[in-house]
Amino acid sequence: MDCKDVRRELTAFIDGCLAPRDIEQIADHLSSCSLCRAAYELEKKLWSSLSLWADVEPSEDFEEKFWRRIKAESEQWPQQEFLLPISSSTDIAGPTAGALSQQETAGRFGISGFLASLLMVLTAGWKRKVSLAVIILLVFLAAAYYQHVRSQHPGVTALRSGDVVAHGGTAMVSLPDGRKVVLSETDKEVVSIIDFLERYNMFKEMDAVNNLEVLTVNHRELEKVADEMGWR
Amino acid sequence: MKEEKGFRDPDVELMLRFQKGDVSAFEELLRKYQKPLVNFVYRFLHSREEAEEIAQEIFLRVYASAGSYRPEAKFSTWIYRIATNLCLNEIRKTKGVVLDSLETGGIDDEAMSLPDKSVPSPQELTEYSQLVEMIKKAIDRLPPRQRLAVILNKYQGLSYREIAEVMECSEGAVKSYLHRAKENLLKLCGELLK
Repeated sequence: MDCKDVRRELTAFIDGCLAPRDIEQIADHLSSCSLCRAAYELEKKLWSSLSLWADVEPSEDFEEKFWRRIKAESEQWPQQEFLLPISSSTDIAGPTAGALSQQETAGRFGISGFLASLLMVLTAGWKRKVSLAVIILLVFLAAAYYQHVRSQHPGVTALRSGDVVAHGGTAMVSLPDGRKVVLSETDKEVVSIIDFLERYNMFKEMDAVNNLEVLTVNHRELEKVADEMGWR
Repeated sequence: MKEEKGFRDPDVELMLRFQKGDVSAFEELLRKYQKPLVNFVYRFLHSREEAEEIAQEIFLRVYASAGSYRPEAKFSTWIYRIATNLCLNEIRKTKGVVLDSLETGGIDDEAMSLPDKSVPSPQELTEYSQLVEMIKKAIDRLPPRQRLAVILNKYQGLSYREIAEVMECSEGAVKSYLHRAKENLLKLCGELLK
């Protein structure tokens, strides 16, 4: 190794991120080259002097502020399930707050929901039976329509794989004006969102990086769609 | 990171517990990462106020993505990637900075020689505080990706491999960013170190 090679590898040498053979070669070179040794000493000094920039402490109410924001979101989007601490010294847990497990959430819909409805139909009076049957029929028709619409959008597969709006999951999208939209698979908006994502060919990117970032990175497109949908 | 390895990461375990509805697991993550994240953003953007705000935003995103979370990387790598993206977005928005490539990642001499009135004169400072101020200023002047690599390595203690995952580049690129960053830092505050 000549001086140029050694200088190029000094940073990794100091960080201990080289193969043993390279470390040995650089160490040999440093023991015989005073200029490179001086460069090495200076770089080491620089690296240790960076520690002089001390850490700062987060504000004392950092956590409190966070839970307030979550609470505000939960009030803005009451149809969503927001998890908040059951009790908190910050007193942010209001009537809508409470640890709600996903199992509980899932239980409200799906098969158990259907069985509960069926039981109600079987045990109710005939008028009630008819109205409940109509409601259940409407729910199933809506679900079938929803599935049909989704099947028209091949990109839905990407969504269902858990990238953006996973099964039973939510995603929070920051709009350019600072407001946030919480999306979930059960949202009526989901079809419009899929249209939007497809229109801007964002699925590929979503597979590669954190989906929420993509939506923010593409905030110009999001801005347009926010206008189209009257979100702002 | 393979799934099997992911489950050994205690922070991934916490996130998975939160995913199942255990809010105390999220509270633990909030307590553990608030200081590192506030400091990460603070060192990158040089603003206490923005640091707090963006750190809040990072946690909001972690919270919101619990439903779709899959342990594909170390939790710390994942959260720093969110933090990095938010910081880069911020400087794109506010400063219109074009991210440097490896080839154009230097500091131009003209920018370096410009007098900065925000920095107190040497007479007003002790040697120690002068050096600290110079370090802050020098890091702030690094091109964004070099600055990120330095902060992640030096202050957040991430390995080259972890930094590569966070910055979505190769380990070789990380090595190069750090090497160039040190060259630039030495140009800016090397005299004070001698």
